Amino acid sequence: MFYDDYHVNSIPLTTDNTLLRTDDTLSTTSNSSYLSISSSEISKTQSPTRLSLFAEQHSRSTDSNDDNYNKPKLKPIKYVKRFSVSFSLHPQSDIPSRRNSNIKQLTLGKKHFNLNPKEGIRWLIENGLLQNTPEHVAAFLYKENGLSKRAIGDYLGEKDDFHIDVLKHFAHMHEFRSICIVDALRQYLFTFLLPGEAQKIDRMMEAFAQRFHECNPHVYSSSEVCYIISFAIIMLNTSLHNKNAKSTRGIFTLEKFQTSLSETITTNGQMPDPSNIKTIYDNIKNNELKFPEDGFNSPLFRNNVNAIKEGFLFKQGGRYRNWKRRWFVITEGCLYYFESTTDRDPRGIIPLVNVDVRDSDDRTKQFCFELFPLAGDKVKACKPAPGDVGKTTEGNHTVYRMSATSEEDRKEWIRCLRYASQNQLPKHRYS
Amino acid sequence: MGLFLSHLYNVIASFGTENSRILMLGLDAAGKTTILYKIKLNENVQTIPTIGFNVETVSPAPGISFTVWDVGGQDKIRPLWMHYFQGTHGLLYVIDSSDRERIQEARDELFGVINNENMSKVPFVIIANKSDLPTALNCSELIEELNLHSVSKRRWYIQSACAINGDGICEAMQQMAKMVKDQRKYTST
Repeated sequence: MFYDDYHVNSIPLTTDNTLLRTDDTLSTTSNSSYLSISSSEISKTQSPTRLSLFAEQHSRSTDSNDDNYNKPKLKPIKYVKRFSVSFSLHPQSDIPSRRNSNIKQLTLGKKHFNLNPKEGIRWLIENGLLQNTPEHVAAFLYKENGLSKRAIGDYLGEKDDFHIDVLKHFAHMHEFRSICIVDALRQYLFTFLLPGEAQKIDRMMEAFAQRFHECNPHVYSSSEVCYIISFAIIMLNTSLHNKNAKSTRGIFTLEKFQTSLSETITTNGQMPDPSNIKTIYDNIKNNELKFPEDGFNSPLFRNNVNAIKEGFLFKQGGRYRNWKRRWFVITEGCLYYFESTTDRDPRGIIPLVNVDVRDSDDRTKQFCFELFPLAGDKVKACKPAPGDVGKTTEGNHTVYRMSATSEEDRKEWIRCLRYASQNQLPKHRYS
Repeated sequence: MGLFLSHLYNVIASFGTENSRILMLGLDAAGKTTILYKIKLNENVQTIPTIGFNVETVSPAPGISFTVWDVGGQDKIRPLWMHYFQGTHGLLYVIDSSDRERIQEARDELFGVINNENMSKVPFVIIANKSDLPTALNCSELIEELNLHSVSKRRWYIQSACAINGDGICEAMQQMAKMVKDQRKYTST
């Protein structure tokens, strides 16, 4: 129950759902009385991290310069969205005690899960905190914070049909568009701890490969080939970096890697380019696949802030007009971008204050849109100064121009940015 | 006398310092991981975990060290990992002897592996795990079910075991060590 709708929101491919959800949240946020209650309550339970604090400070400092900025509107939105949505769906939960017990129960459920994943999920379902469908369980595992990554890995590794369905949905929530297979795999393996049992690895790689092929249909000839390559990557990583495996006889060379792949692939599909295989080999050799840090210190956005929308976009540089691929996260009142999904610190923070967004054209990129200032000649933004913890430099953009992957994607980003910026635009523009 | 014995021990040990690579296969839930960490238990070395398959180096008897890989997966992936195991010295095949329904599946997988050209002449030990359960098949029944009589020109051994309390695991590993040594002698002469 608790998870119903908010989580469906987080499944990237169901755009229709997302559209719907955004409208829902919109209507709920207008009820500012319980917004402020829940925000204060939540900030008690979750101490904001350094970065979110400084983002807030920054947005405040920019606010003070602006006369037409309406202060109370931005202040309470930091951690609110998820709670406001879920409670608004259940009228009886507006009673504070009920709300508290829900949060407490959820925390208890997570504890159960971390100790015994299967039991934990059953407990959450029995207590009405989670719907008994693979979609919802997968969304819970993918989005919820405070879960042990080892427990997630254990849960996803189970063999029966329900768990395999969950695994498929879980893989489906990842966005791998236009990144190389190793980076995609790194991203995937960041969200749970890969077990060491062969059959489990096999299933997890199969799910990964299907999703990767879906996101990048032209990179490899079939999802079979992706599966073989990803399995081979895990083999290679074990063979090159596991101390126990290394001790046997000489290292597993690129030539061996190539022949083993070509022999396996030829019966199932088309062999990728040798240069591609070399890139994969070098990538793994020079940079071992790493276990995610378990526990509660995963990146900022997995933990503290609930994203309205996140995804990869191309962004044009402020000084040099080149395009770079960045991971963007919209939260209420702020837009962040990261070099990769697994980064802890953002490359840039843009308070969504006094800005609006519009379609734009670019000679080199399709589906562009830009964030432009409503007052002044620059978008107020900041970048963490490299190597200097806590310090920031000011952004240098007159507009932020981004490029999405499709027309639909562009519309969705614009819509979410508008919603997040809390500008009092005429209502008909949302519909 | 004590000095002599320890000397003898060293001599024996020097014979087999060469590391052997052993593959561990079996259907899921057969008990591979339990067995692997049961053998590993007495030499508890803390290592930094690596993403990938379970691999452990174990020394079941003095002078012998095995690198045991837990691999497997679908049939179509088999040629891939076979490449990593060219020159493998032995195969440990783990079977859940209480799971009568999946015996056929286990047999097919076993023959799929040992009939591979990279695995020809490789001796194998079958660990009939979970032998403590009431439904478990005994060794002679298993030989029948797995059609092991049809295996020729190759040494094999079957050992009933219970991974949870460690029964039979040591025996299986010692047999493995013996067969690997014999195989070495045979191929080198």
